Amino acid sequence: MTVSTLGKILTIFEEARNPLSMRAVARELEISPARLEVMIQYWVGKGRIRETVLPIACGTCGKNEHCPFVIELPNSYELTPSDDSNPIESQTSPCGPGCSCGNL
Amino acid sequence: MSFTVALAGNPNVGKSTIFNALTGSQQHVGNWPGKTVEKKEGRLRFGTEDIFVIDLPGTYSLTAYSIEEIITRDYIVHEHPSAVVVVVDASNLERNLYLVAQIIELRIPVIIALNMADLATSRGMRIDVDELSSRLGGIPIVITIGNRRRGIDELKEAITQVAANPRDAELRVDYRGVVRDEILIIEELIARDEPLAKAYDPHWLAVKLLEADPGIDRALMGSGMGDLVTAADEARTRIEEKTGEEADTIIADQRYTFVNSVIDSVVVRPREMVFTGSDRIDRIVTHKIWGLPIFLLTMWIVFQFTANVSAPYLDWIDVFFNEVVYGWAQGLMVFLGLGGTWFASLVTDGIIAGLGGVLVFIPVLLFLYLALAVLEDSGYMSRAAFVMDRVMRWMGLHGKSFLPMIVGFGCTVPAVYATRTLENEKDRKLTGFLATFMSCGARLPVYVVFGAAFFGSTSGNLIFAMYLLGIAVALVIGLTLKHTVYKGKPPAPFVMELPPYRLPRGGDVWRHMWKRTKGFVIKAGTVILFTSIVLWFLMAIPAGSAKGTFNNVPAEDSVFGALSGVAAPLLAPAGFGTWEASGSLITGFVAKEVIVSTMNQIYVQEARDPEPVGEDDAVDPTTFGEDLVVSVIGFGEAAILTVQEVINIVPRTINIIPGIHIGEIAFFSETGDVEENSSSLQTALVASFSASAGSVEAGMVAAVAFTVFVLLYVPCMAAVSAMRQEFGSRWMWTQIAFTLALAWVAAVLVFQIGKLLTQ
Repeated sequence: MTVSTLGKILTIFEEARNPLSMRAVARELEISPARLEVMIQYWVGKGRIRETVLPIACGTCGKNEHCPFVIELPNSYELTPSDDSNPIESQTSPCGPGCSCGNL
Repeated sequence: MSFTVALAGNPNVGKSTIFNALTGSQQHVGNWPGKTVEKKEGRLRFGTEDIFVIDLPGTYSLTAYSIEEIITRDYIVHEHPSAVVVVVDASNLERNLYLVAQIIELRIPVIIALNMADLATSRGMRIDVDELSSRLGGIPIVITIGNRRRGIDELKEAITQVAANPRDAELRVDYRGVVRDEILIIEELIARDEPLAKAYDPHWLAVKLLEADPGIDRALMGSGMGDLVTAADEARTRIEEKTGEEADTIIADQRYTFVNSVIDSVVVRPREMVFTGSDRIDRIVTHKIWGLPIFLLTMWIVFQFTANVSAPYLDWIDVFFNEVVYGWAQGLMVFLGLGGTWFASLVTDGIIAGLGGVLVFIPVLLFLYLALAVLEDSGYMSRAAFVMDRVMRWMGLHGKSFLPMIVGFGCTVPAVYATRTLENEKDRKLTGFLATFMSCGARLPVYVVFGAAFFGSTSGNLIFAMYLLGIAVALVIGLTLKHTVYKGKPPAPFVMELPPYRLPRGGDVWRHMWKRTKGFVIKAGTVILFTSIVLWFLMAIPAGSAKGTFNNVPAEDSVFGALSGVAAPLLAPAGFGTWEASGSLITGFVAKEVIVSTMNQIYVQEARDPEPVGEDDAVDPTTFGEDLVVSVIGFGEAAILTVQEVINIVPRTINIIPGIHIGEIAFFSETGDVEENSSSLQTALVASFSASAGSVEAGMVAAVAFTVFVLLYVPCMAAVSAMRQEFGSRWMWTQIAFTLALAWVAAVLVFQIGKLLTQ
C-alpha cells in the first residue's frame, strides 16, 4: 500500500540485506542523489534513520579539529534501532557521555 | 520607523555572514530563553529605518523534531516579525526550498536571499530567479554572495520595502487527494473559532494538526480545544487508513513533490553525463568480484608510487640532514665555543640525528598523501570503503566496524574514538581491538627505511604486504572472535553516499597533502623531538657498573643500552636480538615514527663514534656555499629521477602480469650498487640485521620479521590511552599483552620459516 517516495525510501532501508550506495537507491527511485539525500534527512529528523558521524577529531594533538591523518569518508545512513528512535533524545554527539576528546 | 526582521535558513548557508553584513558590529549574543541555543540580535540603520534583526537557529524544516526547529517556528508564529528573510543556498535548492515552502505556508511576508549564487554558477547551474519568485507566490528574491558582501544593499532595500508594505505570501503547497480533503475539513473547524483563526493561519494550523505536531497539540489542549485535536486525530486515522502511511509522511512527501516541481521548472543543470559516467565506472569498481582486486591493485600502485618516486628525494634529504645540517650544526657549536661539549653532542647526535631521522620521510609522506588525496578527491576512496565493507561483512563483522578500521589506516587514536558509532559494547571493543592492526601512517617510515635498505626498488611490495597483513590479521582475529566470544546479530546494512567521480582539483589535493604533512611535522617537532632529547640523555648516562662518564660512554653501556639489552634475547628467535632493535621497539611505544629516529640516533652515533678522528685523518671542511651548491645539484638530480620513477610505474604495473616483461627507463647509468645508494642508516641496518641473523639473506628475512613485529605490537602511547578511556584499564592491558604475544609469534614464524626457505 506504500505509495509515497518517502515511504519507499524507508522500505528500502528496512529490507536491505547488503550495503547500498546512495546512487543505486536514487536510480531505483528515479530521483537525483541530491533529492534522495534531502528526503533521507526527513527520516533522520523523525529518528527512523540515522547518519553515521565519525568523531575524527581525536584531540590528542591538543587541537580540537579534524584529524589530518584520517581519510575523509562520505556520509552513510542506517536504520535506527527501534529502542533508539526518539529524534530529540538521539541527537547527541557521537562522542557520547563523559567524553573528554574535545569533539563535542 | 522601526520594525523587526527574522533571518532563517538551513545550517551552513551563510546565514551568519548575511547577518554580520546586515548588522555590522551592532550585535548582541545571548541564549534563547530557557535553551542553550545561541540567540543573536542586531540593529541595522537603512535610510530612515531602524531595523531590528534576529538571527534564528539554522534548521532544515519547521517540524518539531529538534530544539532549533521549535525555536524558529515559535518565534515566527508568536512574535510576528515584520518579515522573514530566508537565506537559501543557491547551489542546493533541493534541501533549502523545503524550509522555504514551510515558512511561506505560515502566510507571513517573506524575502529570499539567494546566497552562494557564485557557487551555483561555478557548478554549471542556472536559476531562473523571476520564475522562482513567481512559483513561490511572487515573493521578492535577492541574489547575494554574503562573503563578498554582494547584494547586501539590495537585500536591505527589499527588507524596508516589504516591511513598509507587508504582503503575506500567497503560496499554498498543492496538497492532493485525501490529504487535501482532510485539510479542508480541519481548516473549516478552525475557521469557526474566530480568536483561533485570528491567532493562526487556519490552513497552516490544519496542516500542523494533521502532522501531529506535539507543540501545537499541547497548546490547543491547554486552551481547552481538545475537540479540535480529537478531530485532527480522526482525520489522521482516515488518511492512514487510505494510504497505509503516516499522515505526516504523506504531507511531507507531497511537500517534497511540490518543491521538486518548482526546482524542475526554474533550474537548468549541466548535462547528467557525470551521473551516468559515474554509474558506469561504479559497475566495475564496486563489482562484487572485481571490486576487491581493483582496490588491491590501486593500493599496490599507490605504494609503488610512494616508495619509488620518493626514493631520490629520500636520499637527497638524508644527505642534507645527516651531513649538511649536521655539519652546519657542528660548525655553529664550534663558533659558539661549545665544540666537543655535551651540549654540542645533544644538538647534533640527539636532536638533529633523532629529528632528522624522521624528517627525511617528508618526501615519502608527501607522495603518499598526494596519492591518497588524488584518490579521495576523485571519489574513488569512498568506493574503496564500500568494497572493504563488503569484505568485512562477508567475514561476519559488524557493518559499521569498517569505518573505524578505515580511519585506523590514518591514525589509531581517532579509530578507537570512532568505535562510538557502534551501540553494542562488545562490537565497540572488538572493532577498537581490530582497528589497531590497521597499519597507521606512523608505521610507514619504518617500512620505508627497511624496504629501501633491504629491497631497493621493490620496497613498495614490502609496504603493500604490511598493509595487507594488517587487514588479514584483523579479519582472521575478527572472524575467530565473532564466531566464539562475540556471537551476535547479523550486521545491519546501510546506505552510503558515493559522490560522482571527478578530476582531482589541484587546490583540494594540495590542501589534503599540506594538512597531513603539517600534522607529521608538528608531531616531529613535539613528541619526537622530546623523545630524541630524553633518549640522548639515556644514551649519555653510563649504566650502573659500566665504565665511562656522562657523554663519554659507548651506547651499548649506557642506561638505554643496558635496559634495551635485557629485552634483546627475547627477540633473538625472530632474528633481531640486538639491543639496538629492542631499544627502538621500546621507544616506538611513544610513537611509531620514533623507532626510526631512535635507530638513526643509535646507528648514526655508532658510525660516527668508533675512533677519535686524528689530525691527519681530518677531512677538509666544506664551505656553506659548497654545501649549498651540492644540495641544489642533488635536488635537481632527485627531480629528474622522480620523473624516471613516475614513468616506470607503467612497466612495473604491467610486469606483474606473468609472462610479460617491459623494460624500464634509466636517465642515469647505474654504476653504483645498493650500498652506494643507501643512506648511512640503511647501510647500518643491513650490517646489524645480517650480523644478528647470521647472513645477509637471513638479515633480509629478519628485517621483514621486524616490520611484522612493528605492525602488530602494542599501539602507541596515545592509542593505548584512548583504549583505556574508551574500554577500561583491563581491556587495555589485555590488548597490550595480546598484541605483544601476537607480534612475537608472528615475527618468529616469519623469520624461522623465511630462513628455512632462503637456505
